[in-house]
Amino acid sequence: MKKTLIIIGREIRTRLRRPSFWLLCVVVPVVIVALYAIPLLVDDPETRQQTVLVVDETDFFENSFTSSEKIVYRPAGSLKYARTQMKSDKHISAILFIPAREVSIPHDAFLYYRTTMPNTALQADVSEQLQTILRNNILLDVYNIPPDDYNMLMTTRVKLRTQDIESGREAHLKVRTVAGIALAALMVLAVLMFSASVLRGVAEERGGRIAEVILSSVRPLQLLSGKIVGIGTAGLLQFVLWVALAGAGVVGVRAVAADRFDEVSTTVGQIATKGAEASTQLESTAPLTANAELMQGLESIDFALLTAMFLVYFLIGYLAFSAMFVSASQFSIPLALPLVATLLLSPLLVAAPAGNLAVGLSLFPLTAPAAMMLRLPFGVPVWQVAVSLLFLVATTVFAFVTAAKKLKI
Amino acid sequence: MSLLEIDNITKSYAGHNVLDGVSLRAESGRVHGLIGPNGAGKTTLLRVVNRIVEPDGGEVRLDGHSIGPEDVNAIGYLPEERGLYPRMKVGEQAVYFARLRGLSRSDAESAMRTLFDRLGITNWWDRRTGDLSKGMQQLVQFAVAVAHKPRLLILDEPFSGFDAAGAEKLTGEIRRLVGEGTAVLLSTHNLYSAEELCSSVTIINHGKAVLDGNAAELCSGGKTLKQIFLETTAQ
Repeated sequence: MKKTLIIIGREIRTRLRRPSFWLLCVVVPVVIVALYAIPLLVDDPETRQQTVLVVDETDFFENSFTSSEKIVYRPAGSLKYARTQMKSDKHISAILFIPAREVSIPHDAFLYYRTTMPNTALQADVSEQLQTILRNNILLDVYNIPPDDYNMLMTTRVKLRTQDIESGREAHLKVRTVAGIALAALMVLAVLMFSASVLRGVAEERGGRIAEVILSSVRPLQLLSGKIVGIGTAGLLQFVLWVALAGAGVVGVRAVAADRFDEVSTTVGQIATKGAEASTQLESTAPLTANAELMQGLESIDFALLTAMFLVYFLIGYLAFSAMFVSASQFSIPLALPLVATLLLSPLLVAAPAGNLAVGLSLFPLTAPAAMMLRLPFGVPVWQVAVSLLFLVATTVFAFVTAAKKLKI
Repeated sequence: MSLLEIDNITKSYAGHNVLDGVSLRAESGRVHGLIGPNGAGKTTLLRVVNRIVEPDGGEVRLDGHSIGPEDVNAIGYLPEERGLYPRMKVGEQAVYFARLRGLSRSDAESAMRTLFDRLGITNWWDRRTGDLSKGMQQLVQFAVAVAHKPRLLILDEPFSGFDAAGAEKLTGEIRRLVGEGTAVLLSTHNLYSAEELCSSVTIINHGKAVLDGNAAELCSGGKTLKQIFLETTAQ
């Protein structure tokens, strides 16, 4: 045990001394925070007001467009006049041209730009306003239905609630699906990344004949355990630093630009619901409902249990895959494939988390770490978790013994 | 009783007999030479003694008992190929390997500093191992092999990579250790060194011990060790 601890210490020290370790500790969180903050950098509607000139040959839409702080609609009379205006005024982002057709209801429109393409938010707003104006006019003129009545009709929904018959708790299937897939993806990434590090570490000793010197002092199992635990600890430390620094960075960015984030999320919400038949009222209420549901869904998940199970499956999975990679380094890709394939099959597994495929994969050691993460948010019988862990531990022991023999020259 | 007793060791790889019933003895305070042409099985035999390779048959005994994991601290091993981490600093690496041989951190550092001082390599302590020449690394590796004061020292081609001065320094150290009672098992191609250092020799060829005995007695007929070696390995 003492010699194993000495090897663990060397592995950790060696990695902590590498400049690349600390460089990655900083670079990864910076990239994550940068990706998170990109919406702030891409466009800034606070400072950039966009103007759209409207040329409506149908007289169906003109004057019905509603301007906002960021997007101003201005009637332009003719396309020729609008073009001239656009050339002389750089604040005009686009010309909306609705041509007259032989049919009574307009069915197409053109958004002309010059040099710079209009952004998605502008396109979404124009498209949304076209649909709303068209629909409201048709409702009123053809069917004599006031738009407000239509909106009320459209927002009246029957909410289907999936609940446990005993406790009455909501199932929140969507939130559980997302949680399962996220956990499984994190599991696959962490297990394979850490196991590959062990393989590289062992290759260093084999290649340089260092293993011969060490194996004359320690048992192969001590060397293997020392390397796997040492590399795993260093990797885990790096992972914790990533989470802590990225978390702090994200919180910091949110605190500095809270208002901006609210605007961006509203814009994103509008773009996301653009295709739906949503009225202005529905648009404003839908995200709130979704947020409330999301919060309720998150609250319904036992995160303490999920975290504990994630750590258990990660630790055993890491030990198993590291040892398997060492014992059959030339087959490391085929050995990793089942784990990756489980992630690719995740839509099928979360659709039927208690189905034969999902249960089978969560018991099979090469797929269990990912498959169990997909299933756990939906609830898994204790005996299945126990059997799955038993198989995984047995595989780990077998892989360790095989890898230790392989280390012998 | 000999410190090291090797009895009838056999080892084969893919049907090829690498060791075929090899036996030898090594005494405390003496150097036993293991001599043979390339591919004779010398390194495999040394790895068997170090428990790096499992033999198919036979027994290795240390102090009369079958050798086990608890005996590693009694053995020092200098392999033929260098086995040092190139990016680690020399001193830190030497202490690390000494600790793996059972010394505490403070004892390992103290033993290594003393040894480095005696070998005249103290100024290498903070250098990166990869920056040293092959001969310099060989000297560090020798220090790693002897810092824990082993009762049995196994040297596999210890003179390779050394210039004349380095080889002389190493020979002096081996003599000093033998004088302190260490049993040395020396595998070498260098027959002059073997003749100079060994009290007894085993000549091994095609995995078999073809000659074994006291070096002085073997050479008593006026033949040199080189002549004996060439005659016994001619086939």
